[in-house]
Amino acid sequence: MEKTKIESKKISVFYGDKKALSGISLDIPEKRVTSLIGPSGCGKSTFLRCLNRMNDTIDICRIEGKILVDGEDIYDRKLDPVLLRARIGMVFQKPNPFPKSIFDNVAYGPKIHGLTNSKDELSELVESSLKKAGLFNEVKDRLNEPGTSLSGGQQQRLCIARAIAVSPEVILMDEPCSALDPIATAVIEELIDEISKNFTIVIVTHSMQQAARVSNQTAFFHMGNLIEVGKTDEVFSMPKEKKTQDYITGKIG
Amino acid sequence: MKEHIVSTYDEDLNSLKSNLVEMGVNCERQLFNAINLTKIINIAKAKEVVKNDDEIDAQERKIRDFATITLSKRQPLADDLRKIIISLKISSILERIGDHASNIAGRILYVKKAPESYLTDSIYQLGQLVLKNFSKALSSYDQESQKIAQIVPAEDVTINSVYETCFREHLHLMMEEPKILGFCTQMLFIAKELERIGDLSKVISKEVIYNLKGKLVKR
Repeated sequence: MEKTKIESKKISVFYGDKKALSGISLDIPEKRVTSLIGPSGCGKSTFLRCLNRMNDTIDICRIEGKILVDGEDIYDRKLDPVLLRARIGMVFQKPNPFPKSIFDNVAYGPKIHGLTNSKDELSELVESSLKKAGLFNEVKDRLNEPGTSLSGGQQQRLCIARAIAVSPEVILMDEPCSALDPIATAVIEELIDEISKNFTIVIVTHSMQQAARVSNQTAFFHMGNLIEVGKTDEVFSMPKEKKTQDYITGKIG
Repeated sequence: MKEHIVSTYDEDLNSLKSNLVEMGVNCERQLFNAINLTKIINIAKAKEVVKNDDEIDAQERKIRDFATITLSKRQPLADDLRKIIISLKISSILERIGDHASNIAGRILYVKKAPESYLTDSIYQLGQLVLKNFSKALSSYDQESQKIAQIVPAEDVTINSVYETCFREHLHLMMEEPKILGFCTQMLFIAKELERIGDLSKVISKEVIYNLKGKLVKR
């Protein structure tokens, strides 16, 4: 039996008067890849951002319902969102390295969270994170060069290394490959497969094939509702809902 | 049925289907002609059946190429994916059925004419049942009808028992009159070809159900 890492219980999100998500209940299994699919504006990114309280930064955003990580309510007032985001990392659509060196990009998180005790320990952590992100061999001789000097695909892997460095439990990815070419995409997908052994991954993607390739569970969102969730193989070969079928086969926008 | 946003995708899938139906109709005609040969031997007709098999083989290649291009171009999912997968499966089954029809004609060419004492038309009757069930399997694909597809396996049970009867009948004929042994052996091979077509019709009907339900039924 798979352990549930994140439990979303009837999550509704409002931006001002507008309801963006209606009562989403979705269990996310531990150390598995869950993909969220659906047309633009369906609420999948909104849902993803609820999982590490990224929506807190939006003033008009109001959330109802509960999200439990390992049974703990992440919207509990006593909980520090900064610490939460160390447990639940995020990788965005556009690679966004800090305007710092490759080394410092990865070292930044461990430094502010005080995860290492010495310079050597920090170097080791940077190296192992870059290795886990499959980037180390490509950058080992230029760790002091700016992160922005890397190619798009390398920058995205740098962002993944940065996310991994603080030993999160969950990594959220919001269309991580949409700005990348097919080769860089394949490298990231291989990486997702590799790191899912140790992390719980939730990925938003517009590529049905990517969702089919990388994820174990797929959830289909439409107009703020969760229409269907199930094993990826089943959702893409024999979806239960007509709406899902129409979307994945290109019959609705 | 909703249409795809990309209309050429619908055109591709429709054209794949119509090509397959066309191939099926061609097989049906070949089978019809081959079965008639078991009642009235006609050398010219038999030669024609053997020759026409090339056309069926070419149709299979065409469907295979088209399906491959559609797979790579559209990267289909769900019901679209199943439609293409079964078109590949069914086209290869039809190609086999075409071979069996051509084999029947080939055996007719070998025996040239029926002995006067050979009076039974049981193999022709078996052929009629097989042809009817094959046509049903084809229409279940054409009409995407689970109802029709479900009839096919049941009918095949009848076909198998008629085949058994044919077999025993021919054994008796051969024992009674060893002179027609050679002819009857060829007729028994023809009966076997027909029985195989019966099985293949059943497989087509199962592919149709897979397309509609997304689950493969046990053979």
